[in-house]
Amino acid sequence: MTELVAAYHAHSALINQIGINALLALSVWVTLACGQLSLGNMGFMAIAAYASVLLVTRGHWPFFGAALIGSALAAIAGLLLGWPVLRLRGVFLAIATIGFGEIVRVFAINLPFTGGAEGIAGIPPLATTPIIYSSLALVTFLLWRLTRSRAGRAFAAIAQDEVAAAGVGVNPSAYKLAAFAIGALVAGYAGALAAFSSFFISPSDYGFGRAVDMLAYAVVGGIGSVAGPIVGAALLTLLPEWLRVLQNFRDVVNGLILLLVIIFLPQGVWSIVKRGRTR
Amino acid sequence: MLIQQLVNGLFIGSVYALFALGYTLIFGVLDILNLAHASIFMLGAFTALVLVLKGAPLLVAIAGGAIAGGLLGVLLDRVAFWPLRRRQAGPLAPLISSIAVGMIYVGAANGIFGPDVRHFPFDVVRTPAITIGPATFTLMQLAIFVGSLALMVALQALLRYTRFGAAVRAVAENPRAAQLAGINLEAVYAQTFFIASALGAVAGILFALNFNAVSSIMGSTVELKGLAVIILGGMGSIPGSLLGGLLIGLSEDLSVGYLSSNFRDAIVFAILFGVLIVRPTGLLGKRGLRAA
Amino acid sequence: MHRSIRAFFLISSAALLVGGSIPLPARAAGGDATVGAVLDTSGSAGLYGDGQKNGLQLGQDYVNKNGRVRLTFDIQDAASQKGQAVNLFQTFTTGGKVVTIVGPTLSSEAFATDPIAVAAGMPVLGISNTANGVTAMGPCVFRNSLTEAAVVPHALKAVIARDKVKTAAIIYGNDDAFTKTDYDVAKAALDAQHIKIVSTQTFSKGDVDFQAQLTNIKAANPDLLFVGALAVEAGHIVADAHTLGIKAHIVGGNGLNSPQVYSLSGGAAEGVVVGAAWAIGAGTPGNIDFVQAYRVRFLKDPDQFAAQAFAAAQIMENALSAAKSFSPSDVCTALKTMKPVNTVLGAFSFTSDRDAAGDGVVLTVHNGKFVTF
Repeated sequence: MTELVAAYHAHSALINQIGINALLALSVWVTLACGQLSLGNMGFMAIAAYASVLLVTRGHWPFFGAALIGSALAAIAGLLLGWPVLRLRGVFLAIATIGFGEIVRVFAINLPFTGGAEGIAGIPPLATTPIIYSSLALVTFLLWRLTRSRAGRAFAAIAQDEVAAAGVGVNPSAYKLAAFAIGALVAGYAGALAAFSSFFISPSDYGFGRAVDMLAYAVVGGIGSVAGPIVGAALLTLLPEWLRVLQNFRDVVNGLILLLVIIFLPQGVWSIVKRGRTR
Repeated sequence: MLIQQLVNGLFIGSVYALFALGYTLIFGVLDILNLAHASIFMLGAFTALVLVLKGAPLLVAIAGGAIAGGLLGVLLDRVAFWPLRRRQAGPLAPLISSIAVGMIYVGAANGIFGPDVRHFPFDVVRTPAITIGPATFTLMQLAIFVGSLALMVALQALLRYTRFGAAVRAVAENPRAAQLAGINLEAVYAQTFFIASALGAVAGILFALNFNAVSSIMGSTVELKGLAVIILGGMGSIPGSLLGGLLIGLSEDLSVGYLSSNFRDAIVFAILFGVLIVRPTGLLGKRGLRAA
Repeated sequence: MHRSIRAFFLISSAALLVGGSIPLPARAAGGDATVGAVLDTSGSAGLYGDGQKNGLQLGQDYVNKNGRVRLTFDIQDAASQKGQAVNLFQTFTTGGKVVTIVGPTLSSEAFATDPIAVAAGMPVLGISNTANGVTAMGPCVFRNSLTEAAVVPHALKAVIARDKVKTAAIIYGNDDAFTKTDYDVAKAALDAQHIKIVSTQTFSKGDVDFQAQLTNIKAANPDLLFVGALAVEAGHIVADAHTLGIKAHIVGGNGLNSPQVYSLSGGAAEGVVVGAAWAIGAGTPGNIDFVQAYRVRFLKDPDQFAAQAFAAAQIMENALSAAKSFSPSDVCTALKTMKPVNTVLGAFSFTSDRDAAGDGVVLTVHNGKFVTF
């Protein structure tokens, strides 16, 4: 038992990162499940992270209250972003979300209260592993229920063929907007958790590269179910630790994995695991 | 100062436009947003650098880089897009696989060349500065501006006046009909990728020559600006790419000149965003809102 | 086939997690010490981490040749990612093998990693962290990198006095803590000297096109231009300023103390003045040997990152020789009470706040090389 505890202490940061990345993967998955690719989720992370950090460090709020407010702000931003881009399809939507993420980052660099490029340091480590993982469990459960509900079926219908879905009485706009808001909420909450488990945040934490990472977690894991993104996040977060020997060639392997999955395993890694189990 | 800023903007705009040409050509013909384009931009520059360092004259190096870029583009299509065409995957899959190949190309450059910023030997890049009235620019910049425009005109002519161009336009318009008319789709796709990527590589070389910097991450900022260019100009439109490039270049420099350099990038993305909301087809685009 | 893939994932994840708990052989007492180093040798900060790695390797050989202590640097790559730097720090602080951690490369990483070392009582020696508040994070957080606040004012004062400067412009990177600090320090120093700041321009890390900003600066016609940038951007700014015909005297901080400044700008760098922590041409015998050895082994000139890394080896040698034992707390005490030691940076000692003591040097580019102002 003490060995496990020691192992945990040696890797608690990594374990926390996996949990947070799983939440981020789920935030991308939610909108993908509705047929939309959002590459701007780091913008939502940033909004919630800065808001909650400022509330706790300057306003002396408790962690949960601050995280809730931060996530709510992110969700509102999600609605504000989602609404005007509703009628954009496919790549255009993706590009618009990229633009959003970059705009948030530039604002983070330039607004007076964010600390600019110097960021905010000395953030108390209030997001502990139990908090992160129970949050992940809760979010996973809620999203799983979502997939089983009417809303979930509506999402799937819209993802398949939006016009046909509208034809059978599903309101695509409402569902797409809801997906956006939920994705933003989850991403925002993940951002708050990340801020309170890494002591320091700065605008460079929220660059375009992060959006690509999140997408990779979801796609590699598999977007067919809630479990896929979590598996993808775990795998791709551990991978750099294993691949450290490759030094500068590391990205080649990352890219190769993503490529192989998208070409040969479009249902993601989780689909092999699932298939193995039903044998 | 206004004149100088306009000159600056036109110059950088012509480079953006040349880069965006490759993006827009591929989108117009294949409906794919190729996010690996920026990595080919970068690899073209490295190829030219290696050739120059081995003693090749500049024009040979540029040609070599262009060909290398073209070949990398064909490889990209074969590896990342062709398998998806075969199984008729949705529109997001090619986007993701282009991201993957981009990572591979950049990773390879990182591994081979390391993170250092390399530069061309000085006698290759140093050109005299010319001052006309209130504006100063170098001969290199003028050459790049003229060269970019020439390439764009050449591409437009290729598409409009040759049989190859007619085939490309037919495929872009309606692939099935083109196929039924006897056009070899895969050949056209490969050729399109070759040309688009060669152009992207040349853009990279010109960019690298002017700023005298070659590094594995040189594609990343241009990539995002390039998106703004094609959205503004209109996806799938060559003249749109030129117009979009020049406008983005100008707005960047004018915003630095008259607003604040802090928000330069935000303004470019705000333009991107605004265009998407108000007029997704862009200024000159034909097929913006295709159900993807 | 599928089951074995799943098994592979599960087993390797478990192995990674459990690996940290496998008991390691006891550290040899006496002269053997392992010092961990968390550096960005790949990724966006890779160009700087690379020089640091080289400096540490050279330093390790130098210390081991001296024979007072047997030193091994365990150099790990954080790939310019905060999360990875944090994980590496955690591995080092719980692994029981290292006595001190050198690094990380970026101040933005340090704010996330040093609290972990502080909580574990492990000393940290920063070799390139220059942001405010780094050493304040804990009683065993040290750094040997002279901050911008220490070196920039001297460079500015020297040029102001020599050239009777009345007006100045500043161009700096506003998305990087290091270059942003440059701005804060330069502005304060210029204000203190009653110099009018006629234009302030910003750029982003990785930018290569500075025409727009420099055009603005040219229009404002300052006597002095302060450049808050790291080596690569600085080289381009200097080159572009020259092409545009800007006559202002160019001054910079630690970031400009790199061969890239003159190699990227050719003759345009002539006369640039830099306030820095280290002079490549410093005549101390240790420095001359260092520069020579670096050139031979790595086929290029060392930059300040490499020099500060090498100095870290010399500092560790000094502290470890004096330490009562190699437990982290004894090493921390040894560092705190260390007598001044001769390094390639000159005579080095820590301030009471565990920062690098001293005013640095003022250098200028003359005939394509850095010389003392």
